[in-house]
Amino acid sequence: MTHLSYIIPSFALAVLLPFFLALSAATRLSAAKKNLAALDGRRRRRNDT
Amino acid sequence: MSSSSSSVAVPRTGRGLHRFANPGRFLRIAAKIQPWLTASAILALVPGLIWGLFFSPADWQQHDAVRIMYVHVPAAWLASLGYFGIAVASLVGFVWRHPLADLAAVEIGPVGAAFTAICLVTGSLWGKPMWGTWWEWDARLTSVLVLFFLYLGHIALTRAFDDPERGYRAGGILALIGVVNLPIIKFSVDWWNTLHQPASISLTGATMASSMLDPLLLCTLGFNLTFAAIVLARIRAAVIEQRIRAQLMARASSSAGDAA
Repeated sequence: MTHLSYIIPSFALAVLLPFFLALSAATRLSAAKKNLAALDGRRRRRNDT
Repeated sequence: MSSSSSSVAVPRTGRGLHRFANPGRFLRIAAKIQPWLTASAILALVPGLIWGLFFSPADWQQHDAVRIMYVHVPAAWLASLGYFGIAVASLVGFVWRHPLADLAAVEIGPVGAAFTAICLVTGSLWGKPMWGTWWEWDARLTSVLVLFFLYLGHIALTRAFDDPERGYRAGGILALIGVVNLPIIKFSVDWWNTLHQPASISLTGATMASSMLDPLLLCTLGFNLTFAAIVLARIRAAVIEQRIRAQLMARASSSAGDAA
């Protein structure tokens, strides 16, 4: 295959950048869900007492 | 006074666009869509990239460097589409005060900027062996660089204010003004003499063989679905974060009330 030194970085960037964006979105979503669940749990306990 | 004699127009909740303005309903629908969207993105993108990289034919003139097209062209389309999405979301935010529209505009920004960066860098990597230069200040390249700066400006503006509402409005104005750059990008290769080649694909047809067009369309579908999946996950996270902030503020104000 010709021009590999140009093709590989192009494909690597096009795969890795969206992959890291997806990973950061998934991490952020999971952290937000966990925080909301913790907050809801605390509120419920406060209302019970 | 009876309610029937009231002349005040009450918005019909649960109808039309505002049916989806309810963040709770959005979260429920988005949670169901997300796995399907993510799976479809992977199922389209992985075979598309493998097809383009290993099984599509090389070009008689550009040889294997033409394979950069399978990542460069979808990224270029998404760069413009993403900005158009920000402009539409901003307009919806301005006109209907749709609570999710502003969040969508904010969350599309970084993803669109990333795809614009992919377009610029892969374009440069394609340009070096074909044109003999990494960069040329021609109309297409320069207008895409302007688009990248518009994205950065939008990201900076939406985060520049303590009051998020002001950030949304300022970013929205930039998005609506900057949308004029999109037709300039599209038609730059027709309006000016550019190093960049004219469009190979239009609504009326394509000037490339189906052995190259098919993997390109599959890659485009895959990148579009990836973009949508990432943006959806970011909007979901933003809605939940907004809910957390609202709960914390309510708790802080009730604690302040108790102390007083």
